[in-house]
Amino acid sequence: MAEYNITYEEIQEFVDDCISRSQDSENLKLHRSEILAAITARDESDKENHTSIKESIELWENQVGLPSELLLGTRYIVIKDSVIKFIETALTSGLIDAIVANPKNPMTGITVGVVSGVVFSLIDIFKSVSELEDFDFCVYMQAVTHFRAHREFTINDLKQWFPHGSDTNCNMHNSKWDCEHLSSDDTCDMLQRDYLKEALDSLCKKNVLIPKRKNAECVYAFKI
Amino acid sequence: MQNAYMHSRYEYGCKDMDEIENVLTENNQIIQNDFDYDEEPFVIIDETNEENVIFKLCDAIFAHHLSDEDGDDAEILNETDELANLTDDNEAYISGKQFLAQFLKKLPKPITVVQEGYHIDRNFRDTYYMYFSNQHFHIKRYSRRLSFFRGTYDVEKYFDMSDAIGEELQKNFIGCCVINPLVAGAIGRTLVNPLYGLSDRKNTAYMRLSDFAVHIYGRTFTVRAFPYRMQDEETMCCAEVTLLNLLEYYSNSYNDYKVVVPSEIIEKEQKHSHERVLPARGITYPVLTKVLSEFGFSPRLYNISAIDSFKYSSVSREDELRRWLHYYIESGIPVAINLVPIGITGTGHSMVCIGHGESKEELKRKAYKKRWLSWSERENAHPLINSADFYDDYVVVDDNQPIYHVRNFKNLSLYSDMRIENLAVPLYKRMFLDAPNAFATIRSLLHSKEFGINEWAKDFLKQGENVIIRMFMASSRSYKKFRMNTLKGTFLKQLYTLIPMPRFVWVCELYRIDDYDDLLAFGEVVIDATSAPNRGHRSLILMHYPKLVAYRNPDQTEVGFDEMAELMNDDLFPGYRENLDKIVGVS
Repeated sequence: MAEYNITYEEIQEFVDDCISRSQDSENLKLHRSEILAAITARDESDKENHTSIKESIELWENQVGLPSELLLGTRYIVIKDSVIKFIETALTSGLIDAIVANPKNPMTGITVGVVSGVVFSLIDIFKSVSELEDFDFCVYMQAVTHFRAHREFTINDLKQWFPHGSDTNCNMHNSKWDCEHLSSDDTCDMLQRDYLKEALDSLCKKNVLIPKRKNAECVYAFKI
Repeated sequence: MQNAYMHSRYEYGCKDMDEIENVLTENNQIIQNDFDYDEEPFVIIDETNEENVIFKLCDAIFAHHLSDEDGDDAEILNETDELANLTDDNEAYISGKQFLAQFLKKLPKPITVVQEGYHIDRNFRDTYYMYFSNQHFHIKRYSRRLSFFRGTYDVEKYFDMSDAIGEELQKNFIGCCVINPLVAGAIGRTLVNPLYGLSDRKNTAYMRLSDFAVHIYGRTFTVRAFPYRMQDEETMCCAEVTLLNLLEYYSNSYNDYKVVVPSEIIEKEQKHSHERVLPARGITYPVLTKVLSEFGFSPRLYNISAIDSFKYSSVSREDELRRWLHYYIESGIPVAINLVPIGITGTGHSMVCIGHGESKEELKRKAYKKRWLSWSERENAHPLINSADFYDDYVVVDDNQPIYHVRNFKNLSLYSDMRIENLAVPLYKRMFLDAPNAFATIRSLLHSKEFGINEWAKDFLKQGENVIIRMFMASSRSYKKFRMNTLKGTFLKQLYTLIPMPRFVWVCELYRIDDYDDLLAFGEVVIDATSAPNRGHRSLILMHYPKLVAYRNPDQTEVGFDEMAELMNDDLFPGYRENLDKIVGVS
């Protein structure tokens, strides 16, 4: 993976672009400030986080009409390439729509009032994704890409989504990832080496997927 | 004064040299048993008498000292087999007596210890008149100094004034250590060659040292060292010791700084404190940097909580602080480090970091995953891998630990429950651009369209190839000299020496991954250390890419280059290694 320095202005452009490519862009636009506040959240204690997130939402809400040069000029975040890629996929695949529709309970602080639960739900999922490793991150991303059609999926679904049969070319096509399953000829050996179960177990252990039994089969649901 | 070897030679009248040596060994053992080690100026320690002599010498030296109330040090050295257990791996606070025994035990034998019983140590004499002379119970005025030489030397040989003996003594000079007549802090000014003093002698370390002149019984020796001493807990705690070691290093190395004694540190400390400072209770780091300012430095103080931490980045605050420390260490600037207990309030600690250990393969793999890209250039730019991430072992001078201890950044202190809170960097008054700002400027330059790697090294590197960067500050004098000696071609050598530069410059060398272990760079950028962060790309002085060198003159105000020279070849050139001494490990 790589790390990017992204200015607030660039992040705003990126999120707007992703939202415009989403099927439910109108609904996402309503939560634009919360999405941006979640992406630009700092690594602070819960108490500090509560205050700064509320301020951050207000700042992003105010960037309409006459944007602040101070906020959008020099401020930046450092973010993993994997998280950026995940945000893009989650915004366009419907995963964030689902989170927005079913947020955590709103958070109430002593001094800051009510803060939307959407932001905390987004922060939780972005943080979990940022801690994934290369091999389980790719599996998670394959599933997120198909979220709209498959809110729950099986290991057999995953096998269909991964490069298989005669075409084993990597379908993630991201030169910034360091994938041990990617060969020099751009082919993926994840299925050959039978690593899917291990990756799924890892994702369940990291609490980003929830395993369930359905019709004597194990299905995996997204933790949202 | 008498000497064991003098006795043996003249009293036993042996002719054959082997016979003499045998008699010497046997009788030396007998005679040294009867020595008054307190008075003996030349004590020889070899493999046969090591246990006995070290024990008796340490006992004699510390006999007149008031012992600690708990008497731990006395107990430990009463058992001779305990001596074998005194190693650097024993993670426990050591007394002066234990320190000396441990140090002597570690030295390669045979050695000669030269004692000066009535030594006037500038720092102890200063604290004596400032503080100890005002106390009711008697404290001696004189210190004792021990100097260490490899090999065996008696009075006759030492005072042989031939050049050959002088050179031999210098070659075998290990260093010296002042013993002060105190309860705590008995180990005073200690200057030891790291070849003998480094705790982890198996691995190679890189450290900042200075040449100290030492005058011993009419002879002058030089030792390349960094000062070490223990805190006496009355006039000096860890922070004062940190300051004294730093200031002594600087005054010895540069004419810009004066020699400082403890009373001057106390005086400056008092100026910035709201209550008395004696007996010493330590200094906070904001006051420590204030004291450094009083002595002519322009220090920077970095607090870990002031560092930006990003939620979805693999670079934590600790990682960023370690990078900053590394830039300064790689620049040959010793850094004062403040540690505090984790999670609870309590007494903090202070030490000096003077060097780093070797790079590690595991860390290189991790650094690769933290490689950096600017968002705007993400499709074409070359990801930058920071070589500062390849290291996590640092050489510290800590009064709680043996001299030159190599420790992991996460556990610099002897105590595992401490974390780094502050770094204080004693910068020269005209080093305006500090490490974090220099790094931001350089990173931006390397990914810019006008000066970036992508534009100027596109024929040399593969599309999107990773580039390792190594950033440090250097004096332009030393930097030019190094480049003149190592660059190929007269034209390039002349070009480098003729480019006007300020006294200090920030340099960022560029490496391909396969060339880093051999430290062969394909390019570099040099920026002005007297510049300011808001100057951005106008801080650039020189850029050297394959087949190109371009530079800016001081009177150029616009971004761009006055001069640009095309080179005939794209030879790799050696990385700059003059800031730190390489201390090669002994396998």
